[in-house]
Amino acid sequence: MEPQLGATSHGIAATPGKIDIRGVSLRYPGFGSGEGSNLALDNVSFGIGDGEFVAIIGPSGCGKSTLLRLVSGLFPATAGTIAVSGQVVTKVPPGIGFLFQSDALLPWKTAIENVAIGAMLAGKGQKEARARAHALLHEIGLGQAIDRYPSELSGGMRKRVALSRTMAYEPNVFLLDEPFSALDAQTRIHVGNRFLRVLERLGQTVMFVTHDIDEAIALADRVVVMTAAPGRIAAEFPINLARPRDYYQSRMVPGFRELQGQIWDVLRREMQGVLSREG
Amino acid sequence: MKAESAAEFERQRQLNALKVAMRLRVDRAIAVAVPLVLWQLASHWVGKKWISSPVDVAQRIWFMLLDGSLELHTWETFKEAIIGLAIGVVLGVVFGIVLGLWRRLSDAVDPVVMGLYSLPRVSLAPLFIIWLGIGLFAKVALVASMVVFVVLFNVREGVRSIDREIIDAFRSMNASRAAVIRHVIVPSLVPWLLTAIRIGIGMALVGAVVGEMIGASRGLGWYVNHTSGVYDMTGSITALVILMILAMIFNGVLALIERRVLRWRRGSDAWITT
Repeated sequence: MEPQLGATSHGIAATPGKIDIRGVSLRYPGFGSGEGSNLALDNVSFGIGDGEFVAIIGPSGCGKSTLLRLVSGLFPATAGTIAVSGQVVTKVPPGIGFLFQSDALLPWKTAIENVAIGAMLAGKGQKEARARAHALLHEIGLGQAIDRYPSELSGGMRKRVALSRTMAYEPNVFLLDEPFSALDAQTRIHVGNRFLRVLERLGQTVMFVTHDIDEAIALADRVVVMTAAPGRIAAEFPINLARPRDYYQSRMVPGFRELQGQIWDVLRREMQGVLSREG
Repeated sequence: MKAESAAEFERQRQLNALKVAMRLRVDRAIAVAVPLVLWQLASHWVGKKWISSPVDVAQRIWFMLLDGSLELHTWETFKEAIIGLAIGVVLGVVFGIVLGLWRRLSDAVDPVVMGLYSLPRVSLAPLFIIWLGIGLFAKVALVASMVVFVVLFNVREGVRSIDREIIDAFRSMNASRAAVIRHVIVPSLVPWLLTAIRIGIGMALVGAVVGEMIGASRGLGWYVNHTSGVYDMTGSITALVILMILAMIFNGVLALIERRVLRWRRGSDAWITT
């Protein structure tokens, strides 16, 4: 085996991370005790350092989105422990900024009202929340659209509103669940760059789930590859590209293609497993 | 020059919108006038004693207005319908939310609920009259029993179709249960509730009128029964016309509410109804 493969618990014990995932398994409740049939995550362990940007990649259905939900405390793991900022997660921890695959905006609220809710849930008064929402939307380039309803915004604009709402909540951990998957290629580059600029400036811990290898490398400090279901850690790859990065230009940097090839090798092996089981 | 053409474009757009609105008014006036004229003509050929005529009906409305019977009967039917509708809506919302959230209970009672829903509620009228007398309460109960199911089904469906990711987004920001209910659950039920009320208005009038026909001493349903018993076609048709106007007022008020509350829905046709 190549040295970087299977390095599941490498370096975790040394420094207590921002997010610490230890031996986490999740079994969906169901009838029949068939082994592995409803096991979504199988003994997953890894850590994420303070301020680190980690991308999680894996075949669809490998439980990577589920892992994000476990970290956010939306539901409990069957086995193992997760700690955020040193606190074991038993309910939703403070300071979590979760961005969902859908933009999850309230359709009956305007952009600015949606964003202000984030600040209000962080304990701000109505007036202050609105001022903050106003500033955030201007910063992300939506100054013209603050009074529009989500149905009047494009997919990329809605994503930016959703990010602004999350920022208004002032989290110290960002959990992003395939936030760009519904966007077309050009919009994805544009919105991806907006996100990258904001996240790099904030310098907070980011856990980013994606199925796009290029995106994972372009954004992250480290790429964690998961196996097909039940999800385990297959490999980890440190990404040593200089910051600030560009969502698209990063792909032209020497060494990018090699990394992409290595990750694809691992992923392909996992996908073949899935395909052979399906066939 | 560019700004000028943009202003011109905007002016044209507003003018067009105005034209469309005017055309709608005219179309609707015609849609009322043509049947009235045909009815008036038909009354000469068929005979007023069978179908009365618009002029006679207008006259009767005027007389009823003067002797106070218009107010007496209309107010009675209106009260029965609106109170019954309100009770039906409240009960329907409560049951709808409970059954929407509690899947197991909903599945358990589903055949019984469907059975009750399919039971012609009109057949309950004699029972309500025995239990509650021939006054207001029997009709209110009948109306509520008709409205409650359509509200229940709509609200239950509304609860089930609430976007899970929105609730998760709120929970991930440590929103309290009260905040989730206030910001997410209640507003997502509003469109479903308005649809239910829209259907419920018609049912409420049916319930009130049928209740009055079976046992009452006043109300528009009673008036239809009473006048048709003495071959007073003008009286019967007058009551029907008033009922229709009542329904149109109910719907108009609802459309105004929809226009305000559902502003966020692009492509909603709520704005065109009034």
